Amino acid sequence: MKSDIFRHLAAGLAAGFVASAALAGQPVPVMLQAIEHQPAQLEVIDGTGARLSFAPSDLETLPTYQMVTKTSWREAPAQFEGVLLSDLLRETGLYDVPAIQVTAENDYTTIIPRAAWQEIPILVATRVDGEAHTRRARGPIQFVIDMEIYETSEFAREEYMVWMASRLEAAN
Amino acid sequence: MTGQLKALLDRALDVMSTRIGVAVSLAPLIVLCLWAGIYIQQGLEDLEEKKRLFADRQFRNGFAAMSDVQRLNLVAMEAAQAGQMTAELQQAFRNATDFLYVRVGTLERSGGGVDRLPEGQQAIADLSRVLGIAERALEAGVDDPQRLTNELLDASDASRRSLATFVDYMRGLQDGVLDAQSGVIRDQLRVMWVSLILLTLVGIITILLLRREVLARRGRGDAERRVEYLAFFDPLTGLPNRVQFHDRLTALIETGRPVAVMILDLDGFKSINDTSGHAAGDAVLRAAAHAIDEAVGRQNGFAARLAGDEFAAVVATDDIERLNVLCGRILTKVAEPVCHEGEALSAGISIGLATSTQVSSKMDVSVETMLRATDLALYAAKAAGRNRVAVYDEELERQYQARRALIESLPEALRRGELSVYLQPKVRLPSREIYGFEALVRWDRDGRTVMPDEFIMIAEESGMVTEVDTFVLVEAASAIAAWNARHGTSFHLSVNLSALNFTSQGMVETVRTAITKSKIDPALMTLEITETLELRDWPTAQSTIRRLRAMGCRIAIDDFGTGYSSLAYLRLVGADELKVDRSLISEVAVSDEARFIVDAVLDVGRNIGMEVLVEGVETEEQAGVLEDMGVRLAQGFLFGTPLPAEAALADAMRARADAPGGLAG
Repeated sequence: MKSDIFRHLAAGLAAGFVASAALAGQPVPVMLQAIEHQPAQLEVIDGTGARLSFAPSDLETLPTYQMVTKTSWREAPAQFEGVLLSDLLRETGLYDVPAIQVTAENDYTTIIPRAAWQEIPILVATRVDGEAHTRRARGPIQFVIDMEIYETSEFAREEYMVWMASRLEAAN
Repeated sequence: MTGQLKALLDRALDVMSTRIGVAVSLAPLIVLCLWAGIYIQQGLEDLEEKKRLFADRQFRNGFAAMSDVQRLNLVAMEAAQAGQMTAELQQAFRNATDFLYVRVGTLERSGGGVDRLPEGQQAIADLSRVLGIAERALEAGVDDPQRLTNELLDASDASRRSLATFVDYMRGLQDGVLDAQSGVIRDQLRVMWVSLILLTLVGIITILLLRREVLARRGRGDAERRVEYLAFFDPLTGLPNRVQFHDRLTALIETGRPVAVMILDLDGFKSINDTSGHAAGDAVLRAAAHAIDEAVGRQNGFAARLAGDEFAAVVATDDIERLNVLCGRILTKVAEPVCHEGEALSAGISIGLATSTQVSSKMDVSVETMLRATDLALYAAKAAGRNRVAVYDEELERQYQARRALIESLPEALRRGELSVYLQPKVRLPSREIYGFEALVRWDRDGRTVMPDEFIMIAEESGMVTEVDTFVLVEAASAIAAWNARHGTSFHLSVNLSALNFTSQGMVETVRTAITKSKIDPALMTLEITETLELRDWPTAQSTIRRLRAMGCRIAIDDFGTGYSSLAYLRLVGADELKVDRSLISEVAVSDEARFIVDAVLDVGRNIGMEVLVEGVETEEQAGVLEDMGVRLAQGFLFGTPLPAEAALADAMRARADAPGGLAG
């Protein structure tokens, strides 16, 4: 009986922490269960020039986070889950490069400067509302910025929110 | 032209500096600000609308959609070429279909309202048709790649055209946005220029108004300082004026310390002004002021200019010796000639001095009593011959009181008949025949006979001289006329008139009345003007003399040879007779120089057609010398002293009877 009370209290505190963090637009750490993803690969050319390939499930081996936000293409908020771009770049030795170039499956290309991933949280989302991210929903790998941060931060740009991301490398 | 512009500008600034002017000036500025704000706001709103419609990412989506369609076609064409849709190609076809699906969704959810544009709607419809073909093929398992390719190419052609139209439209919008941006910048530039021009104008006007205000304020300050200066200083000499003199002397007296006051009056200043001009007079005044100020300043005193040629000086001491030294220094310094436009000018100065110690023995010390005492001393200095210092003392005070008593009792004396007329004979030489008399006034005051020297000047100063002269004129004329009528004689009569009377409008009528009442022959009447007196109004005096001569009277210049004698004076007066002063006659028997002067005067008189009479003949020796020199008319104690009229006339009749030839003539 006593242990139930403590468990509920801890859960309440955790929920309160999550809620307050989410309110501030910050991604919240989250544990994700393994699911089946659409076939997709994010090719990363790391700091040594080596080609690394990350499937959504590979990405999810990094610390995972949850972010609830609208996007320019969604009128209703959705729950995005995935990893932080900063963690991925740190993992691949690109964290300190001046800028990275991201390419989408449909050949869309953009340059993201270092200040962006170092100043604001950019989520590399692999799931939406608990489900595997799909191409029709701008997945399977989509860069997401919290709408509140996007509207207020000088470092956030719409072009950084790449959908169907397929390649990432240091920008020349 | 420049003056007119300046006047116009001044008038405009005058108008603008009024409240209405400021309001009217500010109104255009306010209107300008409002107009600029509205103008730019409208331009920005127009630009925002164009930008909202343009939505550059939709512009890019048009091309991306073409790319998505082409990607779909390429996969289908590859499958058609291979004759089957392999699993790999099917995945690629599915991905391409998903890309197109997302693209259509993106176009449909356009934030810029692309979905509401006809061009946008057409493009979305054509793309949806391509998407529908692809989705249906995927559902069916893509069994016929060739047919799929044909269908896709057919639908893609329509979507290409509509997308091209859409992109063209978007390009048009882009041009519009760029034009609008340029337009806004141009508008801003226009507004900026207008604002700059207007603000420059406002700035110039403001600076002009400020300058005007500063100059006006400075002018007011200068004027106030000037007024303040003039209130306490004399602008000509820079010395304190009467007001400051009064204040400082009052303050000094109130300290109770001994104080000496000097009143200093320039001698002959009027003559310098008349002969050398006012600028020369001013130079003399400035030099005198400097000399006095410097001398008094050394004694820690101060000088002031009270009026005209009158100065004052104050020193905090009652040491008469020290003060006499100071006055001596001033007399010496002022006597030094002043050079003005190449002319050396010099004036003497008379100084009246009084100390508070002297004044306090008689009365309370105040500015008024100190000035009264110094005035008395100054009067004494002038009476003693000018260009000297006189110190106030008990004797001066006594004389002043006596003078005051005389002045106060003179009107009463006239009413009570205390004045009487004496006659002194005038004779012809060498026969010594009495041909006339000079009327002289005597005042029987409390049993003492007061001589005219004692009271005529007082009468002049107190304004009583006209009454005295009129009395003598009427009395003497009546006496002589009556005597002549009674005894068949034709004695002449000379009457002294104050020079002041010659500038009086009533003088001629007074003489006319006297002649009429006494019935004396005007030709026997000689009116004497004393040339030692300065006449201030020569034109009036000359007019009076002309009118008196027109009545038949003769005019004589009395006391010639003293005071301000000048040949110009003879010319101005236009007299019939010249009476040589006794001071020239007293030495004539013993001095060659005196004889030479008298001889010269006789020559002058003869040459300008005047009769010459010598006064003050007291000895036979003098009479003899004068006869030898050709003098024909004389007067003096040798021929008879002034006697009451009856006695003088009786004596004259006796003398005539005793003379060879009896009473004839």
